[in-house]
Amino acid sequence: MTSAVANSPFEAPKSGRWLLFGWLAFAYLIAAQAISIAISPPDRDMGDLQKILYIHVPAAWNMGICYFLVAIYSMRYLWKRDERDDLKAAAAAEVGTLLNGLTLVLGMIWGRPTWGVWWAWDARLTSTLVMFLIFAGYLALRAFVDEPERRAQWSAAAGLFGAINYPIVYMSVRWWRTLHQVQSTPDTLDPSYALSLRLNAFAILFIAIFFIRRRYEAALTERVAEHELQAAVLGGSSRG
Amino acid sequence: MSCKRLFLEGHPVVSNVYFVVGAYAVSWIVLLAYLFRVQSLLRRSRAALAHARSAGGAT
Repeated sequence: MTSAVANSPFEAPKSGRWLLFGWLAFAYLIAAQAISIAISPPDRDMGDLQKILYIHVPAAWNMGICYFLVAIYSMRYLWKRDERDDLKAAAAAEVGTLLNGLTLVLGMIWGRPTWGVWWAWDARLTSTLVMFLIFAGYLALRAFVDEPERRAQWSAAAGLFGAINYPIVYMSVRWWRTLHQVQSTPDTLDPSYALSLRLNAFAILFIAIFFIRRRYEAALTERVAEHELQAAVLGGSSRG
Repeated sequence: MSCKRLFLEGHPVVSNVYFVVGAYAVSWIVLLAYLFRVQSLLRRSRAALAHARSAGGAT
């Protein structure tokens, strides 16, 4: 082992079986979508447009899970000051923002033929957009701050602030009864719709887990490389 | 037309398959684009690590 490796505070992660997990997650998504399209009949009011909800709703649910992880890892970072928690929070925030954007776009595609408009300044839509902008700001903040410790501290504060908004997004349809319908429950749904939603929710969850893990792996490997390069340069200059 | 009218007064079944196909296409494009981005970041970071280790070995 070289001196540079010994100076690195953590080891580069190993991919192991994660690539296989990713393949299986995407295969499961294809199967879940095929099954849900095949078994669920057109809705009385929405017709086939209801099938858009099998991606829109799971994306929104899993966006919430990603932001919950951001809150957990941000708090852990502020408590333990372990840089790996910061990188995990950042990975979850990036995937959460991706799903947040997907939720918004799919909602617009569904809203145009159903509501007659691409966008309305409804409480749910607006709060989801605000959430998206907060986390886009979080990612921009990380891109602009170079010093790792300061970046991690500011990101943890921004991540907690952003994640706190999720309950507002979730409850917005009950607090302000505007255009977006309230949450459905298994009791208010046809069983074939509930099954389709669950299948797709797990598919998007597995893909989100895979994405977060791979993004974390990339970020941690990059940090290990930075540490080792720094140690190599310092080792070289002290000997010279 | 408000959501209330649409659902309570009955509305002819909306069946526009183009919107459904468009939504599924958008979701797959987004997911695959992010997959390629992450794989590319991972490859780059591994190359950076290999470079750092070779620099460490050289010193």
